[in-house]
Amino acid sequence: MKNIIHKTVLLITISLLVISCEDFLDKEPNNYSSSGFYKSEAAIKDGVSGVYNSLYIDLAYNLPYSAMLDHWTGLAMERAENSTIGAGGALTPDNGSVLTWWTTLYRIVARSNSVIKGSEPYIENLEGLSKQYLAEARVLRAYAYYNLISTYGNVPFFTEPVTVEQYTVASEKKEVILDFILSDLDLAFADLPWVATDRGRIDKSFAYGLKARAALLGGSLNYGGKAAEYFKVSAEAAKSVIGQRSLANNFEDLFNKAGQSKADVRNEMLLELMYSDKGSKRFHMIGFGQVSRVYGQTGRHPSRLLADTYECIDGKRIDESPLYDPKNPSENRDPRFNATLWMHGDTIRGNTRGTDAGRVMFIADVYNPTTMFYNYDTGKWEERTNTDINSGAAWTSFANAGVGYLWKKFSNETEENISNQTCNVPLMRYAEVLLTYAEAKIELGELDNSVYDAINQVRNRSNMPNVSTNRQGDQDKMRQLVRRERKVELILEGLHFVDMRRWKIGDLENEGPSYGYPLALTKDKDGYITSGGYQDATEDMIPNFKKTSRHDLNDIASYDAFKDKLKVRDQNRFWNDKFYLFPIPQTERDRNENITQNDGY
Amino acid sequence: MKSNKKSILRRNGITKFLFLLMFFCFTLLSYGQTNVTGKVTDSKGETLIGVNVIIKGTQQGTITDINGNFTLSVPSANSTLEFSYIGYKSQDIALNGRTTINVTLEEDTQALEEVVVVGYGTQKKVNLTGSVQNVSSDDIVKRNVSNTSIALQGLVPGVSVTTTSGRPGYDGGGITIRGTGSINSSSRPLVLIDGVIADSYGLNFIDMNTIESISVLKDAASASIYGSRASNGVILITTKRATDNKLNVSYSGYVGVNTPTAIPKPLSAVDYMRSINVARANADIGPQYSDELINEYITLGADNFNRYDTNWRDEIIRNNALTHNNSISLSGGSDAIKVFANLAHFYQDGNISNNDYRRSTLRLNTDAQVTKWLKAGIDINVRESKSVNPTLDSPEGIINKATTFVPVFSGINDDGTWGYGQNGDNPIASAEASGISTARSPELGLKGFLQINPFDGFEVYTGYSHRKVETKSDSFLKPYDTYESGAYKTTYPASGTNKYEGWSQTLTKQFNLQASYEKQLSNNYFKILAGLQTEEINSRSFSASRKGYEYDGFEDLNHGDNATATNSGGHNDWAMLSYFGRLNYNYKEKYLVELNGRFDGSSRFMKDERWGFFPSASAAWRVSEEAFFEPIKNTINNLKLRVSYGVLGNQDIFSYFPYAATISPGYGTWFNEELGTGVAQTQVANEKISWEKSAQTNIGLDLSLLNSKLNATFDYYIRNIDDMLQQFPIPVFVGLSSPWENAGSMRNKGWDLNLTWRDKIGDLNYSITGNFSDVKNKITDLFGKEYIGTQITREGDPMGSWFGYVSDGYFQTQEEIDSSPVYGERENIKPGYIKYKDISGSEGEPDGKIDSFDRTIIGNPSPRYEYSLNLAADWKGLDLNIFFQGVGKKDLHYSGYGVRPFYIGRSMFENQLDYWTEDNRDAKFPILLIDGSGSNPNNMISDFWVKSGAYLRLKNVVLGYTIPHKITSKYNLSTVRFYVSGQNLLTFSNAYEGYDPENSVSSGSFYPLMRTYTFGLTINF
Repeated sequence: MKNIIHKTVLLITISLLVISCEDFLDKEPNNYSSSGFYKSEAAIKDGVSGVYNSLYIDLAYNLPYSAMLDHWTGLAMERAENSTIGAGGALTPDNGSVLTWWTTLYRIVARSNSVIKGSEPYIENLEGLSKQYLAEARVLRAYAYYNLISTYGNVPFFTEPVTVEQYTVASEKKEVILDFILSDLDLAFADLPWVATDRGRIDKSFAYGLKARAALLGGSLNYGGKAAEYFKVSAEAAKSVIGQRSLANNFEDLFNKAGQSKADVRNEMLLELMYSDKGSKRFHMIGFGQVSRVYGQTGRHPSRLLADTYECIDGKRIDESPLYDPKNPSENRDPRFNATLWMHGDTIRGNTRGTDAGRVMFIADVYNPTTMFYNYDTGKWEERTNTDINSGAAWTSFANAGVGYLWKKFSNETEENISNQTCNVPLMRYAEVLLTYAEAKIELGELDNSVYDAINQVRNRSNMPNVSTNRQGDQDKMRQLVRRERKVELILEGLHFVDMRRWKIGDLENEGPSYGYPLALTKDKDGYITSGGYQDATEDMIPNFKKTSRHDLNDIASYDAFKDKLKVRDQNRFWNDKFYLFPIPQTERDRNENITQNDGY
Repeated sequence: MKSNKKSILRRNGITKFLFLLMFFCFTLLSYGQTNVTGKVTDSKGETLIGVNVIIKGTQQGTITDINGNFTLSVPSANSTLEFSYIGYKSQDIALNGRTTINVTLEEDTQALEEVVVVGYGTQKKVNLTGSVQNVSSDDIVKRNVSNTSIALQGLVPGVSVTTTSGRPGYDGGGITIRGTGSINSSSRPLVLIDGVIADSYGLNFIDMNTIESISVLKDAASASIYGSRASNGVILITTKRATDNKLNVSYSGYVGVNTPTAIPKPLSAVDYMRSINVARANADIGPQYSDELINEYITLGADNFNRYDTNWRDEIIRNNALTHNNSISLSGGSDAIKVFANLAHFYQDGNISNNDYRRSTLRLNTDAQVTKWLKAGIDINVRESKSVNPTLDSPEGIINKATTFVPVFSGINDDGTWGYGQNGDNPIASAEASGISTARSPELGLKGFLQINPFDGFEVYTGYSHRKVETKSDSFLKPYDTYESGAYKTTYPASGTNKYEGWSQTLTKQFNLQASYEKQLSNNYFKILAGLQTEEINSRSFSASRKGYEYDGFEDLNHGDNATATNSGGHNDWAMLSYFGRLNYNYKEKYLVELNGRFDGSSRFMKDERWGFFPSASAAWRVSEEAFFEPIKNTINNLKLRVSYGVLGNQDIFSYFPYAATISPGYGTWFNEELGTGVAQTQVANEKISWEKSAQTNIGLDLSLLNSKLNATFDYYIRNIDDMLQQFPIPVFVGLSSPWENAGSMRNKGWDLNLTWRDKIGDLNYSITGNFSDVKNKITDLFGKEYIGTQITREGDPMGSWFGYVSDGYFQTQEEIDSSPVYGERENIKPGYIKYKDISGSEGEPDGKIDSFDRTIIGNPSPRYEYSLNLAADWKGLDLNIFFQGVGKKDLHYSGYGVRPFYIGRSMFENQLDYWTEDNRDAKFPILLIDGSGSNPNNMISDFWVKSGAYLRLKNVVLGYTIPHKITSKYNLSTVRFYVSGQNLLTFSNAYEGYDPENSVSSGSFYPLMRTYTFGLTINF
């Protein structure tokens, strides 16, 4: 018996000794510890990649944000009636997109701050490209803040990781933040090359371009009453880039996969949101979401206001050019019209599979239940159902939910699957820098040859004539031209979202319904058009751009005289000046009541 | 007669009267040919009065008299007599020619000697000081449901089981004990199977026929021996073991049909087209469908070529799905070694294609008596379960689309090809042809133990268990081609073929060592227990995928395009070390005291915060054992008062290293179109993080009345949860998710009541059991912070209350709109829109605007007043069980696709045709609108979309028949029982039409609950 007890006690004692070893509870996390992490080139490179990673801001399903932003202006619209936020749609503090935009921009700020601050103790000993990567983080942070102040106005501002004490800070003045952006970019230039070796990385050209873009905002909105100073900064920054980069030879090459592989296109792209068909693919759905129902869907549409902004090939606006024909509006137009838009009668080519079997080619038609299709097997054209007009989902098509125009820009893709595109999305092009330079100089009243040259470079690339001599020296006419150029050159790249705010033309663009193609007057019993439409459009159906001098300056067409003959969308579209700034998301104000709401919300 | 009189005086009046009455009857009846006499006593030798004595197989019989004596005339000297008495075990005695028989009836231990399983041991039920409830295997098995968690529903007051889905393999009930115990940590109870910590779903993976009993430890006193993981209560499952040497073989099986209880009815094409035109007109937009087209549909019907009228619901959802369970057990052995073995297979088909679940289990429990003082055992548990789902979309997603997709979209074309659906998304094809995704979960549990009894009262137990649970997922995505009007449209999804294989493994190693000593010293009883437990969990995983499969039928990773290969992997380790002890003391089993304590260390916290101590104390007083109670002891057989207090912890916070600021990989980007590495910190860290604590006070009462025919248990408790681990919403601008902090308190106050009446009338045995409980949650301290979303958690209100605007009917006229506060732009509001109440404003009072200040609490999603009623009866081989279960108060919020017409491109339900128009101002639904992204103010969270989730339902009815022994014995069978059973047969509720009140629907992604009809058979050899 004693033996058993002894053995038992021994067993217990040994077990206790073995187990009670503290090490048993020391387990290591499977992730890297943040303290002292950013002390090597590799770590800083990875950390900065993490900042770029948060650039894929998802404002709509698999859609690059830049393409979404311009739909919140009068030059484009979303599919659902009166839903375009900021113009009839619900731009409220509870709006999900308002929160997503805010959240993701601050994520960029936070990740940049943590790399910049985390590497500070080791800054003297950093090797290799560490300083370049850190400069990139600085520029990305500036980019996020530029988007924040241009959208929301005054916002909370941090240049280091946020501490608990800062959870209740109030917003900082947008002017202060803008000045920080400008000075912080100055710190970054020295460590960046003019052209980044890695495509998708920030370089000196982009940093200067961003400085020009941000200062232009301050100038246009007269931040701190220092408009002239900001225009000057903008022009100088833009000028630094001029000559360092060049325009692509062909405008259309910029927006599809094949074109983007060319060296001249690479040279125009100052920064791209990168997509890839290699390995871990990264694709977007811009094309699929904005093409014809015949081979995709249509969730976003260009407006006629945009279409009518394109000059005729003679360099004159459509109301002033003898070349404009309301029956054939796409003829004799600025080539960028046909590179950016598709409309009734256009031959559309696309691909639904990314293979030969997926090729489609057909004639876009806004009136008839059938249309012509090319049969790649037989090599002949044949008549088939026009699903833009005759299908269960036809109400979402460019003829019904839109006003007769489709985006060709980013959709003109015949090689890749339209719903799996991997062409890159420009976040800044050299063309913008040229136009920013011109605009800043025009606003400063410095109308010299460098201004005309900058604009001519952009126009000539698309075979448009030089700035006409009667404009030269006229600040208003030059202002009109540079604004027009920015619209037709840069639409769908996210810039008009801010331009509309800088130029204060929200009321003009969104003052009423959105008008479109001429309606059919009669149809036969099978639904085929017999009169009206483009075929019977008359000379009096040329829009009026001169309703007021502001309309004229900003190329805002009025269709009042013949609106009854036109397709109409967004009946209840309206504008309120409070829309110039987005509301601060309610979620943020729920968490920090010291952030004041923007006026009117 | 004098001595008789004396004993009568000892009883109370009622008994006296009854006795005299019975005695009188007995005298009249006792006339026959062969007389048998005898005396019936209990185990202490006391006479038993009124014992039923019946000649087996007849209705004839008598009862014992005041001295326990009986006389009965029997037809044959070889008859068998059956003795039965409430509170005692029945006995059959063959006369074998005897004419005098003395019988000793054993007390039915279920009443007094019943032993229940408690933490790290067992205890006599009468000696319990805490709140422990025991559920027997019979109660669970007879429910015929797919898993144990559902079977527990309604069986234990204070244990709330919510069944929210009917998806095969995912239909387990969510269990909370005494209310939700945490805001952010787990609120699920700790589950142990034979002392081994299982994951909280573990009880869904065992065959119910292998369960001996389930103990639910509800209060802190009984649970605190499990310390830091017992805050939400503990469920102890004990599996069957061989008890004697005799070989027992039994088979138990059923087959049944599952039918959805409720699914909303979608619109037909014509109704849809008319309705959407109405909605567009309401937004000043022209009609989407011409009258000509609608007329064509009416006159010509759908041709599935140019005109489609797809009933997505009928095409996708099957009304009947098969389920069956087969289980064979055997047990037996020798004095040296005994084995219990069970092999079982369960199958449940889904109500959509390519969706089912099966589970095979093997359990072997072996006990060896090595020497007189040493016992050893080895238990083996093997499981393999497999669930099958369509690859492209979850079953819930498919059912969501089946109920809401637009009927004019094409489903199946007249030539048999897949229709284009919504932009290629065709849920019929998703279910039937998008490929199959399987998840297999093999589990291997091994446990060995030694039990040493060196001398009387001293026991040492040590055990080691090793449990390996793996999940192997395997899915192949096969896009399908879609056509419309005879033309190829698209292949969906466009991303192409994809093969994914994933593997994860969790190893749990648990070591236990404990020693206990018990001693009875005259009237004093002591038991002391001390032990330690270690636990180490290692989990690891990896996965890989490829795209680009060119050849049908070749679906291995190797067949895919190497350029698209991806892979990932990782691991997590954590550990716990615990010391625990318990002291029991009682005096004459009248005054009972128990102390528990546990010292827990967790690797999840920093060294300084790692250790926690969780003590408890409880006491009970069996008032019925006092001398002064003697006069009424025959009416009130047992009365016990209990009181307990203890502290528990909770460390299950979905994160293994919440204290460490970490930078995670996986945030690379695509420079030069190649995905590189990248890192990011995504969460704020807090080094001070530690346990959540909860303190619970329990006052209880156990009562047995009228010869233990009526039993009652009542408990009242207050559960204070402190130091709650939570993430306060931090400003979005921080750019990181919130850190965990120990801050905030809440309180659950409630009561549990169990009432059981058990009696017999002649051959009819019956029992009625009622369970009633309520728990009320209140947040007591959140440091002034609030969590606001669709639900709000803030001080003074119940956790997670629905939070939104208060509706006030509809706007009926434009004048009403012009003169009322509205949400957003007034231009957007029309008659027929929901009107909201202006209840506050930025200054704290109504301000003529409807904005976020006008939101308030509009409901509580937690169930209140849960109850159940079970009626059981058996009569001559027939048995019937009727089980009702219900919830008295609960609020449901429906949103999105679940309830809003035309929500983002979808259709609507038939019952929603009752919408507002000028002629239907009192409609159930507001004016029809093309909903879009939810920007219209009718879609805001408001009480308009809140409905009562209270319900009463006939959960279960079982009718069984046991074939008489004399027939079965001819075939060497001991018992044969057939039964039919039905689940969810009747429901009374006020939830939205078309939905089951228990079903979790919210935004329309749901799997319906099932009404089940089964036929079953049990055979014991």
